[in-house]
Amino acid sequence: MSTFTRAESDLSGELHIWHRFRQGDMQAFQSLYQRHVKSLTSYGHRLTPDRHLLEDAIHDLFIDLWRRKEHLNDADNIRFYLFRALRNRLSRNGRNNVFEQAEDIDGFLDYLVALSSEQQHIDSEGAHARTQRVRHAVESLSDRQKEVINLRFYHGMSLDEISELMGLSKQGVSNLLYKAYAVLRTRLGELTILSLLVPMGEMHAWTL
Amino acid sequence: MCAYHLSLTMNDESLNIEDLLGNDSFISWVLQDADALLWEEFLRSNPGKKELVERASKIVLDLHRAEQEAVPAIDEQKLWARIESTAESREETLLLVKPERKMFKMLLVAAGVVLIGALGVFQTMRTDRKRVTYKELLTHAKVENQLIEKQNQGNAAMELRLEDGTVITLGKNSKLSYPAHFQKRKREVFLSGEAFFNVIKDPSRPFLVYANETVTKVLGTSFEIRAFENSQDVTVHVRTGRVSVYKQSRIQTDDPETTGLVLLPNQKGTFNRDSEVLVKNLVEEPLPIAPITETKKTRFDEVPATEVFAEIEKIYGVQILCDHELLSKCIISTSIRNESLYDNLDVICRTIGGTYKEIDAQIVIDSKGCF
Repeated sequence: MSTFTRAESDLSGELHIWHRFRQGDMQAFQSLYQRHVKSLTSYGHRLTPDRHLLEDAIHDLFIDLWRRKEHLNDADNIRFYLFRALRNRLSRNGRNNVFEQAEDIDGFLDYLVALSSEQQHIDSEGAHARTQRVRHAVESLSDRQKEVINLRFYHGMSLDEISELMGLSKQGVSNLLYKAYAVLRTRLGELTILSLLVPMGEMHAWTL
Repeated sequence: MCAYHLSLTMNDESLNIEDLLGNDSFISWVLQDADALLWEEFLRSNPGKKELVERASKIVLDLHRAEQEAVPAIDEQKLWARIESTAESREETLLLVKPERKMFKMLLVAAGVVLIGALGVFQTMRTDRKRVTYKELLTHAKVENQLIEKQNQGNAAMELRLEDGTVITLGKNSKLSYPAHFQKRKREVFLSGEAFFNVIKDPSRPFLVYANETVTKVLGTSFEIRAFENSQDVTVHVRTGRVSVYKQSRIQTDDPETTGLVLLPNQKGTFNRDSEVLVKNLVEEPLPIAPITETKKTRFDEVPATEVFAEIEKIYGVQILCDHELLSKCIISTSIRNESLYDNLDVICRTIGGTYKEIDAQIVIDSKGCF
């Protein structure tokens, strides 16, 4: 089973850094930034497509942390804390519509109906091309579906955390994921029959 | 996810891929190799589910990789430099006030000015006692090092190359002392007068310039220092990279750097030797950090003024503070020319009917907005 080791799973180090940061240690502040900036960029770009806006939001977020460091509590889940702060910051900004936008039902149905021609090439592609195709399919999701896919499959967040972060019930999160799967399945092709013919190791996964 | 609950749901005959994708423990296993024992045990006791598990984990990894590729490239180091410089700037509060609280902001600026003024008056009452001369610096340094001294008494600039490859251009009536061999942990030189430094990068050995009462510390960058013995100020101009400047105390404090300034390109630090106050400003003629090339966007048609300001921020590495809400309604067409920052700001401010001023090495735009 392949694994992705993440810096933030090193919990005791993380808490130590957090503690030192709250005492005004600039180096700890920098490690905090270095540990989380990639995650924040990845999540943030699902909240706003504007890279400058995102950079500004991350800048402001860290400045706000630094300014309020004496008043911050012990955070047992620092990444979650930062994600929520980033989300609040970008929603206050009002320049993007992830937050007001209802699920776009018409668009959703369109995806279900329109079968993409890309799916026919699925057998012969290499690993990179495959990733590109999945990425392309993810781009066709609604903003909130992209957000939930990012949190779940890139950051590996639990359903409880996602539900708290996005302000949805746990059932709401599951529904959102199911809709996303449905769109992805349509975009990436129906290979249910084909998969029976493909040897196990090379089997394509998109046969939900 | 406790083991009991897991085995209950997972043994179900109707178990499908969505169930696995909805299981937190499954996701942690695939992405972070957590709960591995649990899942290995599950596969051993449910060999029939092997295919399902493999398909589900492939989906998780596919989506993970796709999202990984989608992450936009941002310059993390540059963003950090910006965060650090804002966090360290003494007018920190100024940046954080929201545009709607303009009056409060102005009051803060006024308070800051009064404070600096007051400090100045207070400090001049006890001047010379605190002055550090070049000679004193050398006697202090000689204890551990054999120093070489170069003096420039001619009219032309004098170029010196140190053993680490650093090139120093010494101005006239200036002198520099440096060890024949640098120490293992730091590179120290002593300056009286004026010099331009092009320091070779070596993160393991910071480069320190002692000049009068100031210490300028860099890892690798180019900058100019002016520190004549008989002059009132010491100034440091940064051309590239990042520099920190701080006051040198007679009694070495724990970390003098924490009370210093961090300077970025197009910024200068001025140390007033009477008041002993270090101030950060923009240099007189801020120039593009890198020459404007064709790849950069310099021509704007019918865009919000804020977009142009954002581009200027990038080109000159200078922060511009403005009321985003007001100015996003100002639609302008203009081009950024390869010249001084102020020339460009003049043109834009004339278009939007605003003014600008420099506060603490940042540009503050004042405009009533456009309707």
